[in-house]
Amino acid sequence: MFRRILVESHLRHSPRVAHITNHFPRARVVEIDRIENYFGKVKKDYLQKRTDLRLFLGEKKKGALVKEAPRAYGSPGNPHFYFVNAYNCIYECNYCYLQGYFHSPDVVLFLNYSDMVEEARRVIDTCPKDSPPWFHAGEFSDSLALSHLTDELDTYSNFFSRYPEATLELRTKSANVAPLLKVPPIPNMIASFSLSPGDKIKYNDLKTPPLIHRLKAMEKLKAHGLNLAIHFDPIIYDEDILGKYTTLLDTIDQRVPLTSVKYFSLGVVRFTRPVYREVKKNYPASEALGLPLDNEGGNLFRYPRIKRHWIMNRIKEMILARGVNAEQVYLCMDDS
Amino acid sequence: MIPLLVFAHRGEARRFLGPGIRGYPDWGGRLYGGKEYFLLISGEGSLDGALHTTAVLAKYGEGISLVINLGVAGALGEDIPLEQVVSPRSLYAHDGKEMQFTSFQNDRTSSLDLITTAARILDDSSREYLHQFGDIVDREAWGIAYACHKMHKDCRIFKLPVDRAQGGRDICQRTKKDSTRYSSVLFDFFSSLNTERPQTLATKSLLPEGFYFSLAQERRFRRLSLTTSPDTVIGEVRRAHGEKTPKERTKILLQKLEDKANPLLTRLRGRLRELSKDFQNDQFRIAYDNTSPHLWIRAHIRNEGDMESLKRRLGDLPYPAIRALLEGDRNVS
Repeated sequence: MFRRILVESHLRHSPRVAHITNHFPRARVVEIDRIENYFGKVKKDYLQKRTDLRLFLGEKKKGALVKEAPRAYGSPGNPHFYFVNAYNCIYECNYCYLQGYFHSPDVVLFLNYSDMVEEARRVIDTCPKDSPPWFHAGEFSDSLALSHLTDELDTYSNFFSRYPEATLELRTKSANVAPLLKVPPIPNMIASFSLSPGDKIKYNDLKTPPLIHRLKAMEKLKAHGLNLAIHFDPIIYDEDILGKYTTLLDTIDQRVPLTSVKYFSLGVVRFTRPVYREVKKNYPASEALGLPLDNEGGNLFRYPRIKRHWIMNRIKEMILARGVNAEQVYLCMDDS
Repeated sequence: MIPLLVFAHRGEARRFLGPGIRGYPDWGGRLYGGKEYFLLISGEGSLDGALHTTAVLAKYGEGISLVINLGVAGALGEDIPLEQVVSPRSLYAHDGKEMQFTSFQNDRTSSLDLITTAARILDDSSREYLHQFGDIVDREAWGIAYACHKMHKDCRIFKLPVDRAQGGRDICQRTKKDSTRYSSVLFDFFSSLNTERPQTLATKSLLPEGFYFSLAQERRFRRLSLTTSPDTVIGEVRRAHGEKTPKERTKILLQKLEDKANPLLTRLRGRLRELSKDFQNDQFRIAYDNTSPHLWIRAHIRNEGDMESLKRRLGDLPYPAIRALLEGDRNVS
């Protein structure tokens, strides 16, 4: 997977780094001074990740480790924050915003998880008691895909068991749930899975586990006692969209009762201008580009509003028709 | 059209300067040309590469199909075979102090990246640093690619790694000594190349005849052609709207393709039109906001009668139904 691993010198002999590098015996390990002197210094072709993906290991000392999420990011009513614990992802979803974000596909893991939870503690202290914060660990990378390497879940679990008022969401498309099964389930830690109809996963979520593997992973976590959430995001329209989501909901329900899912978020495919440009370059035949997208305010490309709301409302109705409460379904990043 | 071959040094170009290749007198021994290619000796360095390439493209660009930079390079990795021509994947630049953010894609199928450096590499630490970004180094490719980018000309870079870029000031002399051999390797490689313009550009503007496309309409047509096969619709529009102007036909064609590609949106918009049909005429119009469920009403009021008419129409306008539709109401299809 990784041809070269670049490690900040002061961590070169840390057990965590050794644990990670041992997983990639064929990778060349190189010592560097600081990640920021290398990562993002040049604009790299996103598709280089297919043949020449690099892994950076270090600690984030500059800038915030916990950042406030944009408006309409998560379930309404609570302030949302995300951990800056990693950059980039091993998967290759053709609509992914990361292809226009870091200008490099290389994966960065910031290993100072104790600093991260310490910063989360400061955030919790500043939030009003009646509006406790939510934290998300999968903003810039898949939360679980590399969790067997990083061992970060232990740190998170310990921390959030001491702060039950705060919530942690681990957002993923991965089926790599073994590390999560090793930590004791706590009610304020939620594993949220991004799901799409099987054919959409096959054609758009490149290199990710197929639907059935994700569902099996969810089933295991449910049995373990962990709370689950589901993201139908991005929804990519086609003429059979209602049929496909009907099948998808039925398939999920067979493995994980929909009424047991903590919440659902819905969002249609959307791109900022730089991401739109990259998607057109990297995946010109992507179905996400096939239909006209409105360019709203010059920087956001998405389906026209009327269509967007029609799609989301239909899928929301299907979820509600299966016994889920309306409060458990929200529209992600769509406040217009 | 023929390609422009760019070399930094005369030695690298030696085999290419054969019979039939003549110098252009006003170019101080830098520019040559024959039936098969132009040839430029740019001099060493990104700046010279960019400047002289730009000058040639500005003067002779219309006759140039693409720019090809051929030359020797240094290998940063021990695993890179020497004296075999490579086509780098990405082109990066180091300006003497730090890496430049701007890069160019040269060959996505390759696995080697090239760094154009502002200075020769004289020590191991620079070599090790650069090796974290690329695999081979040269002195001009990035500048030539930059010039081509600015001049909208396709560019290909091919390099012949000849040493391990381990520094030493005698590298220049050594390279010069072996330049005839290197030039021959480059020439043989070039002879095996197909230097026609890339297919993607050559076939760029295959638009249907009998239509007139603005640039924005052309983009829209190409995008819609990805999901719909436009041939049938083109034929229908030609048959049904033969009397119209090419501009009018294009507008109709794009609308039909849009409808075909996006039937749900067509239905939704059709329903909106239906709900507001009793309100709208030349005098009273409704426009919808794409970013909110709001609507705009424009009325041309000339007298009290118009005012009364507007009140009546507003009273009859099924606003709750319109609003529900804009918010994703189900009763549409």
